[in-house]
This record gives sequence, C-alpha cells and structure tokens, in this order.
Amino acid sequence: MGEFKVHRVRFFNYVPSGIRCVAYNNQSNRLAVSRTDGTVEIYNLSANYFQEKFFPGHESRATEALCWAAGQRLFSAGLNGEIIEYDLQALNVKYAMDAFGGPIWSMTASPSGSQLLVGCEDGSVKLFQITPDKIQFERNFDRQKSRILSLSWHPSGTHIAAGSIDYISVFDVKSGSTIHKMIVDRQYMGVSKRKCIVWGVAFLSDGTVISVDSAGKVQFWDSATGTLVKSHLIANADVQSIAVADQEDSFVVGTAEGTIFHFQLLPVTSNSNEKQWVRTKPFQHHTHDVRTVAHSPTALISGGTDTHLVIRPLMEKVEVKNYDAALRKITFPHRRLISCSKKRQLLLFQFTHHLELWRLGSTVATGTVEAMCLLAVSPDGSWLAASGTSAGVRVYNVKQLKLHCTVPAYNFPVTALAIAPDTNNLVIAHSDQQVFEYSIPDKQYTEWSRTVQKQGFHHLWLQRDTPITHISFHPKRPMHILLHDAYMFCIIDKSLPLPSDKTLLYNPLPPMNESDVVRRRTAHAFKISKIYKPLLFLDLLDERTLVAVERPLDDIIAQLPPPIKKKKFGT
Amino acid sequence: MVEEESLRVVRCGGSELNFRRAVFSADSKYIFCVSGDFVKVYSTATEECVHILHGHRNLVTGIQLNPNNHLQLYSCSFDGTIKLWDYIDGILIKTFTVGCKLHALFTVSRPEDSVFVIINKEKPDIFQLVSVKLPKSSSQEIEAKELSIVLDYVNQSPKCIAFGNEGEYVAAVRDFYLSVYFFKKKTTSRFTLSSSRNKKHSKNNFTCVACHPKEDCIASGHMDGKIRLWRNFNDDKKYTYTCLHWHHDMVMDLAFSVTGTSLLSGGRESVLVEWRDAAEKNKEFLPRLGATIEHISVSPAGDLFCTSHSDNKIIVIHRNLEASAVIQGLVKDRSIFTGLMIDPRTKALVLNGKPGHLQFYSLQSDKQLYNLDIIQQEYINDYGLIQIELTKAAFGCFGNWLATVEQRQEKETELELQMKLWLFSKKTQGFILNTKINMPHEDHITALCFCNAEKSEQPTLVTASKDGHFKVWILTDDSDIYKKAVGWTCDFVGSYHKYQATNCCFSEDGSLLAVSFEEIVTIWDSETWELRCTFCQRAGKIRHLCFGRLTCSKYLLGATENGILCCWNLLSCALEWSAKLNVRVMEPDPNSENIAAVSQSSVGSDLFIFKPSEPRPLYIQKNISREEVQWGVFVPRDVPESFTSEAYQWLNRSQFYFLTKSQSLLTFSTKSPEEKLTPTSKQLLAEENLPTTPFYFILGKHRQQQDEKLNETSENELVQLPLTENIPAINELLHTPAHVLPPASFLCSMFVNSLLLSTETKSAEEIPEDIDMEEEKESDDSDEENDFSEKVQDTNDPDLGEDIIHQLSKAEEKELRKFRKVDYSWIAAL
Repeated sequence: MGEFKVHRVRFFNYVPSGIRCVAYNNQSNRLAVSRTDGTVEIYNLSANYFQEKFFPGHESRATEALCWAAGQRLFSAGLNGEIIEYDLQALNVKYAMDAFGGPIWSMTASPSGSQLLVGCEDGSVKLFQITPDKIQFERNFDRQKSRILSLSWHPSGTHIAAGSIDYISVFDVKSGSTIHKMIVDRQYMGVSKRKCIVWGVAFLSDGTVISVDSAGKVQFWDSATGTLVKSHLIANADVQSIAVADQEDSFVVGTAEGTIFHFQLLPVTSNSNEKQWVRTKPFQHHTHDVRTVAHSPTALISGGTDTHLVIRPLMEKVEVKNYDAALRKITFPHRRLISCSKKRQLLLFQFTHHLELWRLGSTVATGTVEAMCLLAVSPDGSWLAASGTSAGVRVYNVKQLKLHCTVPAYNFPVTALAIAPDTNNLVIAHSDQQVFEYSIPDKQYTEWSRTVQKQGFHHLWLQRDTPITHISFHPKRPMHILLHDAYMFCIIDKSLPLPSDKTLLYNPLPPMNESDVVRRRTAHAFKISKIYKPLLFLDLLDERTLVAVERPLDDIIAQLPPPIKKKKFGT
Repeated sequence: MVEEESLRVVRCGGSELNFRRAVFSADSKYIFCVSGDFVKVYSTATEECVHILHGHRNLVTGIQLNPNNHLQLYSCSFDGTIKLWDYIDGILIKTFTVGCKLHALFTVSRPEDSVFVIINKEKPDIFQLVSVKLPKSSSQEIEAKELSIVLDYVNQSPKCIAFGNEGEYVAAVRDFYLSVYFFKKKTTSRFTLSSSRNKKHSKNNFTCVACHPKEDCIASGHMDGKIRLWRNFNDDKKYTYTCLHWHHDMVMDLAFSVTGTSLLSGGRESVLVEWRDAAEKNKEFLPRLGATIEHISVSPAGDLFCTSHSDNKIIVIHRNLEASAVIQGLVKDRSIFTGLMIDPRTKALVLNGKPGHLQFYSLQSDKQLYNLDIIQQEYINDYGLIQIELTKAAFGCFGNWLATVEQRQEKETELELQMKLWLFSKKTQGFILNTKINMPHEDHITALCFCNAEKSEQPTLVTASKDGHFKVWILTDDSDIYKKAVGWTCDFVGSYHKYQATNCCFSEDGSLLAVSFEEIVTIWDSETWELRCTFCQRAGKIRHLCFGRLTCSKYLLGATENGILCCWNLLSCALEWSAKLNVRVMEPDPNSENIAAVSQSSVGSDLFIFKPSEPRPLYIQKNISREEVQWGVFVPRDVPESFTSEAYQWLNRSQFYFLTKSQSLLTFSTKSPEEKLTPTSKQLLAEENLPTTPFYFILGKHRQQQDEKLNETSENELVQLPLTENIPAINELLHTPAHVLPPASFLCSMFVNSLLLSTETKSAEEIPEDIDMEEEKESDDSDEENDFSEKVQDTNDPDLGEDIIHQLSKAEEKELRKFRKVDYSWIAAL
C-alpha cells in the first residue's frame, strides 16, 4: 500500500440545517424531508435509505409543512405564505401560489388526496382543490381567533380537527363551520401562565382526536362530545409532533427534550375486545427538539433541530431480523460536497447557499453564490458517464458528442461514479453497497466485476450504513480503487483474492513481525481504514499525498442552539 | 412442675419477619407473616401479636389466604407440608403432606382444589413450579402426592413468580428472561432482554415480577432500578413494554394495588414509590422508611399496604401513603459489635440495631421495645462508604448509666473515636446523653466495664485500649452558676510495659480491677489504683477475662487465644487450674457462681457450664450449633424454674442465650419459649410490669395501697368504691384485647352496673374479704376468663350481665335489675 502524506482537512465549516418536516409516502416508500433552510430531500427507503433527490432551499422559502397529495405530488408551505409544488422529475419548483392568509403554519392533504388544507396565521383554514397541473382555492372555513398550528382530517374526510393556541376546533367539511371547541388545559408544571400551544392533532376514524401540546401532554378527546377522555403527561417540555400509523394501532410523538414516545393500542386483556392506548417505549436518539415525526408501517421516523434523521424500525413489524432492522441515523447528505483539483491543489466546498474555494497549504477563501446539484463524472479523456435520479448510467462519447452505451439497469440508485484513467473502466457504487466495474470500450462488465458478483460481497460490507460518495484511482497503480463513505475509506486491490464471509473484513494492518506467508494468507482485496470519521471527502492529490476532509459531529453540535437543560441523576 | 425432658437448643424468637411477603386478612384487620417455624398473626390496628400458629417443624416459607374461604390460611414449610389454618382461633385444620422441601406457595381461585408450590427435586439449584392437587378428605392428615410441573428452572424466590388475570397465566422471571405460561393454551412464551454483552445493559437482570389484577400487564423489576411494564405478551412478536425508572438501585419488590390503578415499588433507597396510572410523571413517594424495602404487599380490601424491611420490620401503610403501624422484630441487618447485654431495668436484650442505634429487644414478647439513637447522624446508604460503627456498649449502676463507644476509620492513621455516656431519665423513661468524650484513647477501645458493686458510691468506668493504657473514668460534679450537673472525667490512666490492654473486668464487690495486657493479667486496687499483682501464663493473648461470683469470688478466669482456660486464685496469687479449651464466649451468670464457656472446634460449638472452684464442668452440651457462636449472655428468669436434676440446675435462675454467626438467637430449653408464651401469660406479664402512668392508677397495685391507707384514715366515710381491679366487668374491659371487645354501648351498662352496686348494701369492711377471694379466683382462672371473653365476642350473648351478677349478693342483684331498666342508649349516641 505504501505511505501517504495526508492533508487532514477539518476546516470545512459545514453545518446541516435542522429538520423541520418529514412526510412519508406509503405508495412509493419514499420520505420527503424539509430543512429549516428550505431544502427538501427525498429518501428512497427501499433503496437502503438513499437520498436520491434534492431541492436546494432558499432562506425566503422556510417550510413549515410538507405533504404528499394526489399520489406522488409533493407540496410544501411556509412562513412566506406560499404553497409550493415540486417537480420530482425536473427537480425544480413547479409553481408557488400565495394562499393570502399570512404565514402558513400547517398543511394537510385530504384522505382521498384530492384536496389540500392549509392553516394560516390569521386563523383561517383554507381548502384547495388539486387539479392535474395546479391547485385551486375552493373556500374558507370559519375563521378562528389565532393561528392554526396543526390540522388533521378524519379518515372519512367529513371532519377536520385544527389545533390552535389554547384550544382545538373540530370543523364539519360540508358546512365549514365549527362543531366543537375543546379547550386545552394550560397547566404547565403547576404554573398556568403560559399559553398552551397545540402543536399537533390527529383525527382517528373512531372519532378520537389526539392532541399534543406545549405543556407536555398527550390528550385524547372525543370529537362527538368534545370532551377530554384521557391525558398523559409525558414530558416537562413541549410535545411538538405526532404521527399515526395507517392502521391506527400505534402513534408516535416527539418532544422538545429529544425523546420520542411510542403509543400503542393494546387489548386490555387477551380475551376481551376492549382496547386502550398505552405508552410503551421511549426512544432517545436526539439531543435537541424533535420537530417532526413520521410513522411508516415498519419504522418510526423522526427529525429535529439536531439535524439527524433517525429511522427506528419497529421490531415487531420486521419479518426477518436482518440488518434492515437496525437503527439508522442519517446526518450527512449522500452527495459529494467537496471537489478537488489535483493539479492546482484546490478544494471546492459546496454549502447550501454558496461555494468556498480553498488552496491547500494556504488559507485564502474565495466564494461565489450559486446553488447546484447533480451526479456527473467526467474522465480524463473522452468519456462522460452520467446518472440520473432513476437507475441506469449512460456513457457518452464527448468527442463525438453522442451516446456510447448504457450500463445495464440496476434496481438501486447510483451513489458514486468514476472512470479509471488508463483502462477507461467505469466504477459504479450503488446504494445497496454493490460496486460494479464496467469497461467502456468493451461495453461490458469487467472480469473482476463478474467474479465479485459471483462470489458476493462480504456481509459486513453490505451492512454498512452510509453510501459510497466518492471513488478515485491511484495514478500509478491501476489495480487499486479508492472509495469511501462517511465512516471508512477503502482501497480495493483487484489483484488480491476477495474476502469470504468467514474472514475478517476489517482486519487491522498485519503486524510487521509476522512472516510474509501469514500476511499473504490473511490479506484480501479490501483494505479498510476507519481513522477518519465522519469522512466527507478523500482523494489522492498525487501518488504520495492524500487529502481527507472530516467534519466532527461535536463541531456541528457546538454550532446548534443549546438543548433543553435536564437534570441528570447522580451529577 | 417441669418434667425432666432432654435439654435442646431452641430458636427463641428474633426470627425474620421479613423472610416472605406479609399477607393481609380479607378485612385488613390482621396481618400474617412467617417467623421462623411459625406464622404470626398481628393486628394491623394495635401492632400486637394476636396468635402464633405453630405446627410446622421447619422454616415456614410461604403463606397465602385460602381464596375460597378468606377465614383460612395456607402455609407451607421446608418440612414438606402444607397446612390450613383457621387464623381467628389459631387452629390447625388440615395438614397436607407433599414430601419434599417447599420453597414458596401460591394460591389461585379458579382450580379450587390445587395450590402451587416451588420445589427442587433433583439438583440443588434447579427449582420447579408445580401445582399440587389437595385431595378432599375429612381427615386431618392428608397425603398430597399429585404434582404436575408448570414451569421448570424458575427462581427460588416467590417474588419472581406471579399469577395474573385470576390464574389464567403465570409469569416467572429469572436472570435475563421472563417466561409466561398460559394455563388455557398450555403454552409458554419467553421474552429475553439483552444481557451483559454491552455495558449499557449490564444490570438488566430481573429481580421481581407482579401481575396487574385487571389487565393483561406484567410489571417486572430489574437490577438497574428499572421497572418494565409488559403488555401484549400473548403474542410472541407483538409484545411490548414500557419503562419506568426512578430507583437508582435494584428494585426489590413490586405490587399492584387492588384495582390496578397504581403500582408500588421499593428498594434500597428505603422509599416506597407509588406509580399512578403507570405513568412516569405521576408518582408519589413515602420516604425515610428506615431500611431497604424487601417486600411489599397489598391488602385485599385495598385500604392498606405493608412493606417488610431488611431490619426485620413490617410497616403498615395507609392507602394515602401514611405509615400507620410498625411491627418490629429483632434487627439482624448488620454485624453485632457490642455483644449481647441485658438492660437491668427492662430485662431487655440490648445489642446493635439499626445503623448507629442500640436496640432494646424483649425476649418474652419477641418484639423490639425501642431504639436508642447513639450516633445521631443521618445514615447514608451507599456502597463503599465507611460508616461510623457503634462498637462497644455497657450498662452500669443498675441501668442508670450507659456507656457507648463509636468509631470510624477511613485510613490506618485516621481514627475517629467517641465515647458517650448516657443517663437514664426517670421522667422521660429513656437515656439522655450526659457526657461526650472525643478521642478517649489514642487507639481502638478493646473493652469497657462499669464497676457494678452495690456499695460503691461513685460510678466508675474503665476503658482498655490498644494504645497500651486503661483509663478510669469517674462521675464528678459539673455544676456551674447556670445549672446543677454531673459529668464524667478521667481519674486515672494505667499502663503496663506498653503492652496493649485487651480486657478489663471488675470483681463482684468492686474492690479489684483486672486488666489484661496481651498475655499478662494485672490486678489493681480500685481504691488507690495500685498494681497488686500480675499473672502471666505465657499461653497466648488473653481473649476473655472474668471474676468468679458469690462463693467463688476469689477466682479469676482468663481464656487465651491459644485455647487455654486458666483459673487463678486471688488469695494465693497462683494458678488454681487450667484446661485446654478453645473458648469463644465466656459469660458469668449474675445469679450464681456458674460460668458458661462456648468452645469452637471444626465440628461445631460446644457449651461447658462450670464453677470456677472446680475444674470439672457441671454440664456439657456438645454441638450446640454448627456455626461459630459469637456472643452469649445469661438472662435472669422472671419466675425461677425448678429443675431437680443436677445437670439442669444451672438453668433454674437464669437462661443462657447465644447468637451465632448467621445471627440466629438460640437458647436452651426443654420446650420452645413460644409454646410457653400463651396470650394469658402475656396478659399477666403486662399487669405486673405496668409503668406508673395514669392508667396504672386505675388498674395497678398502687390503688390498693392507697385505698388501704384511705380505709385507715377515713373509716367513717360512707361511700366506698370497690377496688376497680377486682370488678369483673372492668377486668373484662381491660384484659380483653381491644379488637375483640363488643361495642361500647353494650359494655357501658355492664360497667356502670358494676360500679354502682355496693353503695347501699355493703359496708366498707365487707369488701376486702370479697376482694381476696376474687383475686385468688382470678389468678387461677385467668385462662377461663379469657375463653369467656371470646365467647362474648362470638355471640354477643345478652345473658352476659347475669353471668357476672351471679357472683354477687341477692340485694345487689335486685339493685342491678333496677339499673338495667334505666335507659343507657344515650351513651351509644356519644
């Protein structure tokens, strides 16, 4: 392998924005995530939780609500008072429409998906009809005194629950009038001075309304009579979000203390039909406010100010206890944010709203303001490989400016692409951790790639959390491929045998005193190092110099707002 | 009176009340707890022991109410039997013989004829939960051999098994898993927690389990202080649990309230926690319960809880979390440093109790009289903390003075030592701190003794220490212009060649003080504090030292570490005799010349009783205990026994109690002391030892004396009340336990009648004769009297009045009838 001079870069001052909304689409098993800077990301949960689409945000477009409607259409609304629809093919904003109600705090799609409801600052609830290419204002409901912070449809579509400040209103959709007004107890730790904000409501098909509020309560209301049925005090701080499963047998709430609580509808005794809602498990995966939660059939999804997207699978819903059943924590984007010019020793850092260019060895910073994103890799010579958001890589001949070939389609999205300098082999990494090598001149997979596919990757390799974000090559050693994800970098030596499931994948560098025979026996193609983490970028500058860009989590946390102070026992 | 049966070692009270969960009767009036080989029935209101159910021949390991008849109680024992009791009358109804050791008992209402027990059949640590079919039969002794295994490999402790939903399933926990057996489906589900693989879950072990009475919910306690509430456990996949976490240490026990709305938990924090609606934020506490909560139980009526504590105490707690009664046995939580002592006033056994306390324990009634806080500091319960230990205590001057020594040593060189002297105050009937001496010695105090001679005017205390000195402390006047006071000061410091002083002892008359310095015994004159003579046998360090008493007062006995017992003659200053005996405990009998020595060998401990005048022992009892005997004491008898056989004569006036290493308090008897202790004898005992309280003036002998005086002085006075103690109605009222008395309105007419009789018909002179007669009768028939009172309670017999009256003259009777017509119903309205 040899030794390298390493530029260990830690000055990439990248701080991901806090997560504001998540919306889960059951049909396509995709998750839309919006951040406080207006960025919207789309994750494909089937493809190993890969972030496949990305809409750069803008400060003026801070989203407060995000929802899927009419099948696969994605809408967002924000404090600028606009409802935005995104074009998921072209990856741009289709249109923005002002709702004329002041800042929009909440938005929800009707159970049929044909209508959109928004709750505004001025206390109005507005109903929009979704037409095939636009949305159209239909009417206003009874105007309330204060802003509408949360909305929920009854699954039949006949009623609406709206959470406001200090009360919850129930509307009849037909008449648009308020049926009930349920006053929420203001009491907060014995003091009742502060207003009680209803951060979330959920309307169940049996007429129960579940509300979560700033006093730390989860309350169950009977919408037919407008009475409180049961109250759970679960936190000393705000409960900010709620999401109910489609079967209505479980829901999840997130609190400002960073805890999410799971509630389940369980039979009181095994031989009776009576059921009750029981708080079951608390999960503490966040350090800051959990601003939003989602409930997929098999997992609880939560996100908040601490910028992590946490996907917690429900053990009882998972059929086989494989690696899919493990907790996922997504912190960094699944894209390469850094590019590097080898000849001039420059690093280009991509931020959400600007770029920074750094010269290695000196600290001169120059910046331009522009947003950009898409996957494309150009080789040294004449080939261009491009991968769209849908699977499949196309290779173009740059000189002739025409399509050379298409790499056979694969189910999982591409996470990284690179073309080797001399052999013009295209190396493709997919979100399911598979790596292919495709020979562009021969228009087929290389021999090595076929052997790898025949034997299969090591199971630990396939169980890694984060996708490969960058691939590069050693200028002097054509047999070596360098690739890395957020927690390791790996040099694949194609000349060595592949590891079988029985051998150690993460073998430490063999001790020097052992004989060459032993070393050769234990050596395999994958040389993995976990020295640098979280690793955002790693490349060879020349044959003896390596540049590694790290972003320690502690540095990010240090730049976040302080979390709620809690007394820890024993301190 | 006493037939010469063979003398045997018997357990005498002080047995663990906290061994198993206590059980409430259905009406919450009684609480049952196991106590050694017996089951004790206490009244929850008065804390008094109402009955002792004896019949088992080994440790009782479980008690449960009969679910089909709440006036009956099942108990099981290591002797392999299950017994059914009528606890109100204390009668054994049936005995079911199972045959093997029974470790715990459970009852359920549904299969009416079976109970569940834990047994271990094959290997010593593999326990099974089995159901035992109790055959229906009229005979008293029934064989119950029909066993069927429910769960294998369960935990031995009954806390780890619970029946839920009226016996539809049983939950058992062990190590890291919870198993639930469903009786209908006949299936077992098992839920395993991640064990010690990673550090976070290293203390995930289950410690106890409880089942919700109404819902399908199992609560389990864990080593790390968490409580998990399991639901949906009939589905192997969809089961779920909630965590409640407040305890920082192991959860010792859990109990649901009767309705299931709240869950009670307790542990080493000594705080009872009530979780309402199983919500983490909604909890109530009952703190400062004094010691680790070992068990929690809930009354079937739902109004009371009770907690059993590691200091052998049961606290009855009201539903609103207020402690209402404390049943305290002998505290056996910790090691005993002070040894066994007898308080000369109360005749109570005195020894280390709760941390920093001395306990006064009544051997007769098997309960703690009171606790004396010596260290007077908040006890912080935590591992690794070095506590202040109460190491020595001694009574002096007939119980007027108490000396205590406490020490704390964190490092070799940092010894904290304090001696306290306590004066008995007649006013408060308790000990009051008089003098506190910081660092009375430079090093550990090894011995402490008062001069208990009758003639001595000045209280004298001697302390011996490892620093090579012994110090004599005397009581001096400490008055100043503000108050009159006395205090203790050091009078003399003695030493001998810088040897460590190991023991000290005053002779019976107080004229001589013997102090041992390692191998050498020195005799000092207590008048002048001059060294009189020394004895040295070169047979090892002196471990015990004591003077002979009465006729043998010229002898001094010393036992050495090398297993030699020496007896020196103080007149000739020579060794009288010596014997090879590895003495662990040597105690003189205060009422005779006898000295008891307990020797330790590899096989067990042997007891020798001898007089110092002759080297031949009076009595030898081999193998009194398999373990090491740590302390012993002679307790003077209230009523002397009359053993005629020479070998047992040493037991006539005193009884020898000893404490083994595992802290079981044992004694020698031909029968067990609990057998002797019937409620009537207790009643008499109470009468004799009444303190001079206002109550005493109504009841006690004092009144009699006064009346005699009155008779002398005012003979011409017409109205003369009879002595209250001799009126049957009053006796009835005062001697019947409060909880079995008929209503006050009923008693009232009786009571008033009895008081009003004599005014017209009897002259003052006639009464004393009557009294004498009745007095005799009463003391003889007290047993009957007791039975009689029970009859009253059973039937509320309206003829009762006549029963009493027939002892009276006809004129009285006439008068009485007149009074009976008077309407007293207004009293009921009071």
